Amino acid sequence: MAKYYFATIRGKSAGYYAAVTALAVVASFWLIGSIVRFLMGYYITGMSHSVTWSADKVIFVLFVGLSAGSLLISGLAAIFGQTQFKVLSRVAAFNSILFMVGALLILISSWGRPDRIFLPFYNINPRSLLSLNAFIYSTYITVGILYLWALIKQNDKVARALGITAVVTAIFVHSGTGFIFGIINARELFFSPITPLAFVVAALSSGTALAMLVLYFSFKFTNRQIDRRFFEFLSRVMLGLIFVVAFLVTIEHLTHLYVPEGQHAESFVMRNGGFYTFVFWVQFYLVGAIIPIVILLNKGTRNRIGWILVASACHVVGVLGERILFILPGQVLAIPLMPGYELTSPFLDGVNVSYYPRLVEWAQIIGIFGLLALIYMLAIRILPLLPVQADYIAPAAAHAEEEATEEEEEAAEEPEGAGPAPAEEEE
Amino acid sequence: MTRAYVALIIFALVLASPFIVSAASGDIGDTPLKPDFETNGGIDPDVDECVRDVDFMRSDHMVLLKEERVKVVRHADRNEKYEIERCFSCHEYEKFCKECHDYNGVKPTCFNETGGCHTNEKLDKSERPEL
Amino acid sequence: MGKNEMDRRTFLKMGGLLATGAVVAPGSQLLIARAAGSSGAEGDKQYAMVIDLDRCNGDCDNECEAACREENNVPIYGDERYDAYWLRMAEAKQHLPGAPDRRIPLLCMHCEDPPCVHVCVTKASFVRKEDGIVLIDEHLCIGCRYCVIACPYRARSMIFRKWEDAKNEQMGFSVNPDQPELMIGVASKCHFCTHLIEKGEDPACVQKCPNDAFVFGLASDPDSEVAQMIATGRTEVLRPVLEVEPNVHYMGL
Repeated sequence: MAKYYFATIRGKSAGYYAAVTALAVVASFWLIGSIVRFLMGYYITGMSHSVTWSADKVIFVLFVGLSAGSLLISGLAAIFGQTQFKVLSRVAAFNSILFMVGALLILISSWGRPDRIFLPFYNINPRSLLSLNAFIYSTYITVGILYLWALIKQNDKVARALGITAVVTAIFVHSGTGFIFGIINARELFFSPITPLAFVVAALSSGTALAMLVLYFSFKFTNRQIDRRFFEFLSRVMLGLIFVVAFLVTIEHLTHLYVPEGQHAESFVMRNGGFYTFVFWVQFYLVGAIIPIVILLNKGTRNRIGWILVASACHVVGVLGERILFILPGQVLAIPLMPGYELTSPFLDGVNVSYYPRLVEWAQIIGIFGLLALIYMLAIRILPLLPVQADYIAPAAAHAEEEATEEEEEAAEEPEGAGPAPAEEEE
Repeated sequence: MTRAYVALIIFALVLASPFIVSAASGDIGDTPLKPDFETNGGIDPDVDECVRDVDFMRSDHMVLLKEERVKVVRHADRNEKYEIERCFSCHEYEKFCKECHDYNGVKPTCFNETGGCHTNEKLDKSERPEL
Repeated sequence: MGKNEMDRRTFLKMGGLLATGAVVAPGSQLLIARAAGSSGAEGDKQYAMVIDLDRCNGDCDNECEAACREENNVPIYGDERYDAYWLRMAEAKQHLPGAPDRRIPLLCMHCEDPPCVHVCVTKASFVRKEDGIVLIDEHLCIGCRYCVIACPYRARSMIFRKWEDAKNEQMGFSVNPDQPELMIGVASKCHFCTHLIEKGEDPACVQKCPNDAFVFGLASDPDSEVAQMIATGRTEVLRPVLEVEPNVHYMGL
């Protein structure tokens, strides 16, 4: 087995301190926004009685998805025998924990009563998926932390077992999150058996895309080397996943067209929904699917790292659009309480309400991104997550080497921080 | 090693933060005195005993109240004997309950100001429920 | 590589099993409930309401809405976006030309198989087995708003602001000192005026309707007016296709 050297970054440059300070300021937006929201009540958000799951829920599902993709990269080595990804499995495992923590933070800070955070753990409703998810999410984070610990301690057997457990838990987490929305039969845009599947696949594809961006910039700003073949491999994986996502989302919406109420709902999404129509056609299909597919199929661009990164960024934006479509239009659209009648009431029955995030929601969303970036910056300084040099060693080559170096490996402890510590910069 | 010491000190400071904060805000002088059970302030002199014996009520009255709450709310099964409002036919909150609750740092969420269902207007002797 | 293939197969099996488990665990609970008849009242008592839409003809000032607000201290803030309603009067306009406009009071349907209860994270929402009323324990609600999404009738209102900010008195609604002020940040909805039922009275909307459009009573008692009206077969429920078995029936829908 090939040997990799991991090292923390030194983190003494002015740029690093400036970046950490700036991110700390941004992260404080989340804290302030959440406290203000808790004390004032929901009314300072853009929510109404129709749209009660708002922009923060979009970010929640986006983060849960990004967590999955990161874990996939980590799991490639443990499960699918792609041992060359071992070198990236630490940072990928860390990012999957990070995004899950971010998802839970934004979820809990969106509750009306975040002071009752422990209630779900001892008042369990076995019929509710969200109630079970409280346990699944905490299991996922626990397993993820143990896995990362095993990776850092270089306990390969434990890491492998925990890696498999983590990926299996991840399937639980992501299909569970998809089912939260898929089982709502009161609103025709939500109710669909494909939702969990589409959710998992979009999670994997967007997570892979974002992981590529994070890896590229982490290595670039720390002046470390990463083999371009990682990006080529991952972009192939992503290409396949993008096709599946586009296919699943398309058939989900097409299936709705065969139900009378669904036709009404889909015409809102596809034709006259204003912002949501734009998101559906432009953000999801054009930016999220067509542009990345074209880039990754075109011979001139598919092996250029710059273009691969552009495709990744486009796909992350596109999946954000898919998450918006996942959550908002189903609530914005009026419920057909009495088919054949047009309802009007002071409670806004029969009206397609408009929703836009207000200041406090923007503060929470921007702040949570800042918070996660801040934690990442601090973590790569404290923990040996990033390899000094990420070489791409194909599984066959590694296999031949494995037996030769096995004994040597047992004896030699990893020289943490002893490698050539390169000049550090911000992420 | 110095890093470990710094980390230890920070950890200790975080652990001690509640004490530091309350010392800084001057709450420390206001610690309530231990209530004196023998004075029995705020008890109706005409009534001899409570719904259970005194020791049980002193330690476990909240269990009775909570059980009664679950029965009323979740099972539509009201037993007027253990109603919270009946407490106030003999006891006055300000004189009898408050001192001990303050001493133990208990904030009952039964009443309106604390987000509960019971309004204080009802809580006087005149509306004593019959058993 | 043989080792890895093995693991891949095991992995796929485990993944499949767990994903199935994730679906089956909550789903099986619902199936069990279905098999047992319903998850609602267990036969002894079931309250129900019948609303006669022919009598609800608009000869009034929406007394039911005001009575509900005054009895239960449902907060109103003067902003359409987040005013809470436990009962609201909706105007229904038919698409057919020349068809008369209808009025329909909408409230919590107290379903026997309520989606809001199935999805509640902390069991704060529950069906009271003893009388079939769907209630919220606001001390347990964490404000996740899942129930508001899952309710097919939009019967639930989150409480968006503090009670001190409510303009009930300024807007001409009296405040009932015997009923609690609703807690901020939790879900709330009609509870058939449980406190009045307990005293043997009808809910406030039933009492205050000048046209006697509301009829309230025990559906489980075949001699009651409600049960007889439902037995005529002329009553309907909203969105019957969802099969949540609502207990608010409409006559002349």
